[in-house]
Amino acid sequence: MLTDPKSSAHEEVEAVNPTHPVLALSGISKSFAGVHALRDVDFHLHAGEVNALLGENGAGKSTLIKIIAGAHQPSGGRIELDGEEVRFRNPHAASSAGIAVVYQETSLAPDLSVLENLYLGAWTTRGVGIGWSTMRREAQELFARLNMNIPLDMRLGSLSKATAQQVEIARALLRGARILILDEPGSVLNDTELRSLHELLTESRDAGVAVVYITHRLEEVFRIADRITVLRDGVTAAVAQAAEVDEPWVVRQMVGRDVEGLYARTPVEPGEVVLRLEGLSGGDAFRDVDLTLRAGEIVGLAGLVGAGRSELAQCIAGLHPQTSGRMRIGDAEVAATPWARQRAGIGYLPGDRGGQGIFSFRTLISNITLTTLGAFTRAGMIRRSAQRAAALAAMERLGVKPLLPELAIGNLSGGNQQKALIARVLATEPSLLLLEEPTSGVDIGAKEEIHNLIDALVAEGMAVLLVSSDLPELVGMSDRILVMREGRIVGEFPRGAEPEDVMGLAFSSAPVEA
Amino acid sequence: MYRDRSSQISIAVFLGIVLAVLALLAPRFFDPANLGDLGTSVAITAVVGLGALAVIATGNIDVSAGAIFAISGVAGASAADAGLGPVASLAIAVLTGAVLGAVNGVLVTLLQIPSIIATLGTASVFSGGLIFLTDGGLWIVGLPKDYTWLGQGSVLGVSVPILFAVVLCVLSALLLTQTPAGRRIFAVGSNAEAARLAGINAKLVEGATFVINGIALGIASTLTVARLGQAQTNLGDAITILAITVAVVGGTSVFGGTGSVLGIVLAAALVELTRSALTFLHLDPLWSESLQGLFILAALVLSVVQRRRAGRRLRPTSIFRTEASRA
Amino acid sequence: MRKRIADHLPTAVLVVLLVVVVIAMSGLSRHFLAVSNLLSAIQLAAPLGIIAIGMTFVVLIGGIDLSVGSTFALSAIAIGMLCSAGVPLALAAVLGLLVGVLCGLLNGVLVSALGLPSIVVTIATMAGYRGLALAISGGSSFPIPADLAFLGQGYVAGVPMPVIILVIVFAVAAVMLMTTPYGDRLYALGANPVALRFAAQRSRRLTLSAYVVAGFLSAVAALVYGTMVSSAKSNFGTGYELAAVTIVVVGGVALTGGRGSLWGALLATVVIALLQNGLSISFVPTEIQTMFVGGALILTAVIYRWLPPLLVAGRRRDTVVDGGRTSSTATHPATPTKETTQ
Repeated sequence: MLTDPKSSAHEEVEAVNPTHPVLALSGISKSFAGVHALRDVDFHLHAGEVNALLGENGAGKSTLIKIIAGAHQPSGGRIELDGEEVRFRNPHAASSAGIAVVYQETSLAPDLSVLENLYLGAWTTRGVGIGWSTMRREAQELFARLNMNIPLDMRLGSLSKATAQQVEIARALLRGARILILDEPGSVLNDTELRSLHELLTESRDAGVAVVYITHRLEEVFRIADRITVLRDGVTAAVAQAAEVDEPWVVRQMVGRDVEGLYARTPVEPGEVVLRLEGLSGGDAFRDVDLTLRAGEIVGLAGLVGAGRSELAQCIAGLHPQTSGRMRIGDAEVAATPWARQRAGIGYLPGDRGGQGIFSFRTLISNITLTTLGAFTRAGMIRRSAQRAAALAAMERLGVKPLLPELAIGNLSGGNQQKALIARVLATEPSLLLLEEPTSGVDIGAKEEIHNLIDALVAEGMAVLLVSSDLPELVGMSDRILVMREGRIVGEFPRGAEPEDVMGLAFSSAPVEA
Repeated sequence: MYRDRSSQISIAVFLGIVLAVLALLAPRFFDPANLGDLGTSVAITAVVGLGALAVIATGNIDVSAGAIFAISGVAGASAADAGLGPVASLAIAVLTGAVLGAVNGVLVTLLQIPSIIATLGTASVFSGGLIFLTDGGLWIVGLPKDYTWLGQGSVLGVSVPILFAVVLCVLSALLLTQTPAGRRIFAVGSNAEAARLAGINAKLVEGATFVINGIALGIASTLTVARLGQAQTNLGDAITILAITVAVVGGTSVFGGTGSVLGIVLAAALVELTRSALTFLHLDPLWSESLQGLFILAALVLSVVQRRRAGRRLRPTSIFRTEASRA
Repeated sequence: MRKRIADHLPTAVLVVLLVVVVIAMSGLSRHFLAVSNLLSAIQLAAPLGIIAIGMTFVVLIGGIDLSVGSTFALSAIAIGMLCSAGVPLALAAVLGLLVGVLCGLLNGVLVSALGLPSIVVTIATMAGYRGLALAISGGSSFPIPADLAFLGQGYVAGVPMPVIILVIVFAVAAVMLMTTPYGDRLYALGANPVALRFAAQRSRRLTLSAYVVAGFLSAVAALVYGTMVSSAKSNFGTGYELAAVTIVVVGGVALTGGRGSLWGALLATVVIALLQNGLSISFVPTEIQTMFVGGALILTAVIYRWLPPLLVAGRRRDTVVDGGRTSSTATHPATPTKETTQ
């Protein structure tokens, strides 16, 4: 199973469809601050074909798409459009070349109407003025074809994420793109909407458009894809005609690696119950969650982005409203404010290190000791030497490099930033850790260190709720795994489960029982 | 096209309340002479509001409005005083406003200084410059009749400023709702990043709005000077706050992306009506500045309440690719 | 690398500015460099300097307070009118300070609890507070009794009291910002409000406090100024908000928040004070002075915006982009824009 993806993939890409591609990416590489997002990737798009791009979170799909869209420049390799080499210096260049990308983050104007957003920047004109009626007619026809029921005069910002995305897809189709890339549209559409989208994509494909479809939902793949490309760890793991492979094959290509390696766990006897959730709901984000967490155990939460895992963790930390159900921390019900929860022993590591975690241009000292400033305060003033010493000690304990506490945290590598952030979370001496994506964007060495750290903490009685999109990490570290889908817990796996099984449950699109 | 009626309705309701109070307590308010005078004030204020609408709708702000108003007014008056005739004088005022607006535009778009800083700076440069150029302040009186006709004359019983305002409002409304150029203003204000991706030149649009504001101020100041029959350098003292009041109360979001001419007109009416009502009800006119502040706050709080009720979040978050925001 | 340049730039710019101003002003008039003149210059600018310190708190958290001049006026009027009504000056002074606190409180509540953008809220309260001052005072001037005249007019060891008060306020504020947990958290709030909340800190309270400080210090400044000129009038402090913002921007405190030091604000106060003094003793008309201040604001904004990127570009070609995000330049911080997802 552990084939070297690099060598065979090149031949595979060529072998599958030898006719000339509309867009050919060859040997594309891209690094960010020393971390390789893509290495020597080949990706060919042919007119009149739906190409499904698959891969775990972090496999490099987004980066590849952004390169095609002109939002990033590749560090190496070439791009050819209709056989001629091109460079898309910016997104506008790419879109002028007929490439339309529909991201998960909507690129539309929230204060304008749906109709206007469809024609943003390209209003149909009748003389000097805008031809609203023509636009409206065209849009209505399109919506009828797409089976979309969105009122054209509605303010876009009032729409749900799913609906807004539909508008964006419609907009791309309206502008007659030659290459249409959809970044996980299925994750926010219901079955009827999805079916109509697929019909439309099939129509577009038949009309000669090259469609790239990024998704996690495997039965979607086999419904509409002609070809499947799987990325893994920044390289092309496999390329195949959809007709020739099946789901298990795809999953194997996506996961692929030896899971045991990075994740040594010391066996621990679970202790007392640290957290008990009964029927916990947090608005639309998650519903009816039952969960028990004991000291000395790691419970993993698996699921797609949007399944409600983040919100659940944040609710426990007091950062997301709890709308019903009960939560007991230890024996007590604790006030739903972040500081009360922190005092009750909850430590929360946010999933987005840059946006939600670090204070980028402030020092390591400042970042690490922010939550425990009281410990160094005498007569209202911070004893800077004590503060620095504490930060230094924490940095040493967690292996943060370089060991210069006065550095701005933004100057450190992702792995070291993360360790510093963990140091801050640990500073309040929590008994329960909520870790979101603890090793995202972190190099292998730091990954291992962080895992060892978590293991050591758990061996001393820490309880950990691990939210991670890194499946091998989740499977390797957790004592048991709960799978969330569309806001509910849909299943549980014991230690030693097969990643494919966990993934399958998380990615399935079978409707969740009400 | 999306039209936000809720703020317009609120203003209309307030207007109704004030009118009702007046009808009960001071029926003399409704004498035609007074109404005509009020109408002229509303007209001029509305023109000022139109300029502010353009700038704020793109997410910027212009606190040098008062200074631009003063300079262009004085420029026009000086031209009229020198006998250049009403048309040329108006043109000079408009041109002056446009140039000053362009300065703001360059600072914000090319030099990329945040509009609050740029216009705070130009506010003092412009107003200081005015006093300097007029040798410590001037006071032009006795302007020629053909010029003052612009502010005091009437055609078929309707005062000239009202005519100006009507024409400008209709034109603006058409421009803002029926032409790509106008729609671009709202697109840029709503989500500059998305606008850029859609091929809109956001910088050009933003720069243009500052010029538009300058032009509007030039027209408004000419009408004011003509109406008063005299010009002085402190002409623009209350204009900045007035412009922002009318814009915000008129439903223009300070985040950019929304606003309407109708809202501006209604807001101008409300502001002027209340100001005038204060006198008629024998309330101290010194309260009018306070009142404007109160208006803005009330409008802001109201918009928050409306959004909360509509389930919308205060600041559109998480699904739109835009630039970072701060407290 | 870029960070270090950006951090030291304000100090360097300020020192250069100070030198330029001193040289230019002494060139304009031989009386400029006299110690008595310099002290008098700072004495006159002391109220503004105190206000600027308050403004710094607000700007540090990424906001702006345009109502400081109006709070200044309202507090002064409150003191004046209370004295005229027979209230002993000491009590009136305390009540005047309370007025400042309340003004700041209103601003703070609207911004922190309702999430309203500080620029519009404070433009509204700017009009509201001054209007209130105008209305309740009827536009007249109120005398301030001589009991506390030493505050505004006295000398200690040859140094004017207002300067001493400015220094004391600066010292207290500096201690608060640079040595207390409150200060650390305030800077963090300006640096990344989301992260502060996720770190379980009380962000709303912090936000509120910044505006209260600004209001309070505006009132302190009013007390100093009122006792300096022995009167109170509703037109006090017109244009002070511009001047305070100018000082803060020139002092290198970023309008985006989280960065900058009070020293910069103090130095900038001195620079502006000397500039205005030098110009006025050379009989340069006030309007030109205003132009200079406005020009200084724009010029420093341009320098701080363009110098760091130019310097870094000159040093090395850097194609590394962190995590796929393009480096952010300060966009339009005081004019709120929409939030982002990353």
